[in-house]
Amino acid sequence: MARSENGAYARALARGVGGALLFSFPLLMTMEMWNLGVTMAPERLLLMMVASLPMLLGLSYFAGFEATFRLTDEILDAFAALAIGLLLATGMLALFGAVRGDATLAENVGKIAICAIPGAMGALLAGKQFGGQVMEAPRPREAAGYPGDLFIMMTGAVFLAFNVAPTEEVVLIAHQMAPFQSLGLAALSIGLLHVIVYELGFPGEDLRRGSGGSARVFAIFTGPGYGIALAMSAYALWSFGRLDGVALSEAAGMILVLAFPAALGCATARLVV
Amino acid sequence: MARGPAKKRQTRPRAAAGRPASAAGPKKARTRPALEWAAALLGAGLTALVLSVIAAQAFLSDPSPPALVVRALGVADTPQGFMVRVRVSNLGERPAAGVTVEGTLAGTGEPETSDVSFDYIAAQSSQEGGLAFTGDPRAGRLTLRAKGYVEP
Repeated sequence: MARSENGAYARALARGVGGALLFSFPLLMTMEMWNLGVTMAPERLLLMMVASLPMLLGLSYFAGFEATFRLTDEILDAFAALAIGLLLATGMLALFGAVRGDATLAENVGKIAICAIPGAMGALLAGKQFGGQVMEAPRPREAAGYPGDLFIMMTGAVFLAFNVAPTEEVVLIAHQMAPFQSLGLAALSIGLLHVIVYELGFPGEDLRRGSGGSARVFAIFTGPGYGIALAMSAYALWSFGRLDGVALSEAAGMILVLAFPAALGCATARLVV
Repeated sequence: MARGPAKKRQTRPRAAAGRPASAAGPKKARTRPALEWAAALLGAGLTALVLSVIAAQAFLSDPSPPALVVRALGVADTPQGFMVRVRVSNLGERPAAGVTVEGTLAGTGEPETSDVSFDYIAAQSSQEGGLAFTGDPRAGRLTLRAKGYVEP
C-alpha cells in the first residue's frame, strides 16, 4: 500500500520533471536569462522568488483536482514543484556550462533561481495535465469564482511576460515601432484576448455568455485581463532592470510590446490550468 | 505533480462508493506517501538555501564596484606573430560588462597596441582571452590594463 502510493507519487514527480522541462527549457537555453541571474538587482530577484511562493500555492490549488482546499497538500505540492524546478535548472545549466564550479555561489544561485520558477510552474501544471484519469466536473474551477479566474489570467500573463522580457528584442521592437503601430499592437492584443476568452472560453462560461454576451465578457474579462497583462509586463520589465533610467514614453512602449505576449498568456492560461 | 497521488487517494474511494472522498474514509484520504514529504522537504530546503543566498547578496553586502585586474598567462607563437593569453579578474562585488583590455608592447621596435573586449565578467570571477602582437612580447615590455566597463 505504502509502496504503491510512493510509486504513484514517483510517477507524478516524473511527470512533473517533464512538465518543468517543457516550460523552462526556452529560458534555460537563453543567454539573457543566465546574465540576468547575475546582473539583476538582488532585492528584485529576492522579491520575485518570494512572490512566486504564493503564486505556486495558488496554482497548485487551481491546477489541482480536489474540490476542497487543503493547505497542507497545496504547500507540499508547491515545494515539491520548487524542488523539481531548482534541481532541473541546476542540472541543465550545469550541463550547458552556464553553472560552473569556478563561478561564485551567488552567481550560480542567481542563474538557477531565475530559471527555477517557470520550471516549478510547469511541474505543477504537468501533474494536472498528464494526470490522465477521468475526473468529475472541474469543481475547483467553478469554486474558484471570479477572483480565481483573474488569478489564473495573472499566472498566464506572468509566465509569458517573464519568458519574453529578458530578450533584447522587447526594447528593439519598442524602438522601431511608430506610435500608430504601437496603438495597433495594443488593439490587436485586446482583440485577441477578447476573442480567445469569449470564443474558447472559461469554464462555466455558458452561463456567463448567456447572461451577458460579448460586451459583458469584455467588461469583466477582457478589460481587466489587459490591465493584468500591462501590470505584469511592467513588473517583469522592472524586475529585469529594463525600466531603469528610461523615459516614461519609452517605458510605456516597452510595456505595450510585452503586454502582447502577456495578453496571450492571460487568454490561454485557462486552457492549460 | 503531487496531484497524481492526491487524485489516486480521492478516486479510489470515490469509485468504490460513488461519493465524494470526504464522505468516504477520511483516514485513507489522509495518507500521504513518504515520498511526498521527502520531495516537499527537499523543495523547502533548497528554496530556503536559494533565498538566503540571494538575501545575503541583497542586504549584507554593500557591493563594491568592479575592480578589474589583468594578468598575462603566457605567450604562444602563432603563424602570424604572437598571442598573449590574458586573464581578467573582477575583484569587485559588482559585475562588469563590455570590459576592454588593452595591451601595449614596447621595446621591440614600433610600440604596438592590441585590445580585446570581454562581454561579461561576473563579480569575483575571471575570464580569459588573448591579445595578438607582431613582435615577441617576451623580448619587449608588455603592459596590460582594463580600460573600462559598462554597468550591465
